[in-house]
Amino acid sequence: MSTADQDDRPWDAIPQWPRRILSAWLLFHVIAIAMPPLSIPPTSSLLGEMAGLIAPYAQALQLDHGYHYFAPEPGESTLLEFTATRRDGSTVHGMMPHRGIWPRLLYHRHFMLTESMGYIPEELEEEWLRSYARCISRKTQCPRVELTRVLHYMPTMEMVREGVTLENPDSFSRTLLGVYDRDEHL
Amino acid sequence: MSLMNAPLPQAPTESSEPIDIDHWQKIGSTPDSSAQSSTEHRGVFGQYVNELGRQASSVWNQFWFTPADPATLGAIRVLIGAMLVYTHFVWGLDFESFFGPESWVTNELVQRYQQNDWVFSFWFVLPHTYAYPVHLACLGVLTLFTFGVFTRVTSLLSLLIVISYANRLPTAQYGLDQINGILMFYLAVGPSGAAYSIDSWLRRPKESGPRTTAHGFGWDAYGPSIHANIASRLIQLHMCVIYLFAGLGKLQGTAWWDGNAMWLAFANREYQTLDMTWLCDYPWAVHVMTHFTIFWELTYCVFVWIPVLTPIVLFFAVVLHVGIGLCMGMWTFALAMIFGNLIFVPPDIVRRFVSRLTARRHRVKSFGR
Repeated sequence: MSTADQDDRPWDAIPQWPRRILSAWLLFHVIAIAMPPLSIPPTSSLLGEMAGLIAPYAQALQLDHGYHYFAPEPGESTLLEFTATRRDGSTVHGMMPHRGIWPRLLYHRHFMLTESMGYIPEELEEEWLRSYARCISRKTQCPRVELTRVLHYMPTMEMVREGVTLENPDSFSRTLLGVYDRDEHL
Repeated sequence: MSLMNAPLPQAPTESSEPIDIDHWQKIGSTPDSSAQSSTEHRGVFGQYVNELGRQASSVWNQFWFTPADPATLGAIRVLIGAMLVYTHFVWGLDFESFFGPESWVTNELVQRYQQNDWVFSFWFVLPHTYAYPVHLACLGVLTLFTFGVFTRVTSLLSLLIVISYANRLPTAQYGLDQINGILMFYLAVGPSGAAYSIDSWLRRPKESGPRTTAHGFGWDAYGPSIHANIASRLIQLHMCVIYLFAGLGKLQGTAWWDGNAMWLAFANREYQTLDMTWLCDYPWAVHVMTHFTIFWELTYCVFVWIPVLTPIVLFFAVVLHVGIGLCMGMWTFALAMIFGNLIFVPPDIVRRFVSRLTARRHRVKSFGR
């Protein structure tokens, strides 16, 4: 092949069959990265099944993301409040995440751990909370831990114009999740 | 003029001959009057399919298999490598709480959580005794990758590290980890050590005499390659997928239609690092930001490929992500996304920028002497 041909058709540097195999992989890969977001509900059973076929590839390579950032819309925050009790009866109160966690990336790690409480499968929920309680127990050196889920809602523009702050006590909704004792449950 | 007579768009083709549909019709028809129109149509259709295949093949080959300069890929390796070192270093600040036997989510529990998924992590099998030394070793490998040392090997090891950490702590992850993992995959697939790396510096021309390249140190000793182009194209397409679905996902939410979504983000105390609630007096500004975010995300995958629009699209990418960093404190995510967007910056601009930096460093050193 002449140099001019090579300039015009540089792909001929790769033999035809390897290029075809490479092309097939590229096509498959592009489909594979589009399937996970396409299969997020609401979706058709067709797309769901196709995503299922591609899942081993996408999951193994950590490419199975939905990219639905702040979608369908930015929602309330899920936080975790705890009261840990020492053997002498004194207590430690805390909120996860708290703004004192530094660096900011570490704060976001803790924030994601509490946000994830919203989508843990029901059958794992109790064990998940016990795991959180055990970690808090270790960190605070307290054998008894009470966990409360806190939902923090955002005020509307009108409310802020009327003087409502983002920390308004009415914007928090609390649900007691349970009391975990290292000697019994943990 | 019938549709079939309309000129077809010409791809940048292997053959420079114009497509003559009339000619196809002549081929498809026969002078013999017994030739029926079905035969004629089959001929035209066949020719059309052939031409479509030929042009599609040509466009495909040009898109994927044209050699590209690895400079942008190398620059992204340096930036994302540094981000990975930092990201993984931060895990170590509270190591026991993330990887210990009494961590937030225990090893056993996280495996049950992902039992139906095709995931692997070396943390699943590693005895805890070795956990911290392995963590330090991982930081070492990521550092070597950042500097481009044995990049072929360290890039694959870095990919394994990124995947393993992600699967050990899936519920502590967010967008940052997604873009880190995505870029890491393509940097491992492509020749990311071909520019701005110790590897390329070691391969710099050894012969004496004036250097022929303008990039003296030899950080970019490797030339353009199809391999570099494939990795760059994959990153470009993946960035388009990310923004397209980020936009499409938002279209399901009322707040992105009624213009209040950006307010909900600003009014979330847990994310807030810069108080933007003063915008409650300017609802129109919140609405503009909301609608523009959707417009930009949905159109990114089209406009970013139009050369004259690329700088504008990238400018707004920087504005959007710097805004996320400033207002929501997610600087790491914001920077990682900006690093991903760099893939649309032509390599010659990257080279000029790096050369200028290098030249400045030289001047400072000379002055010091």
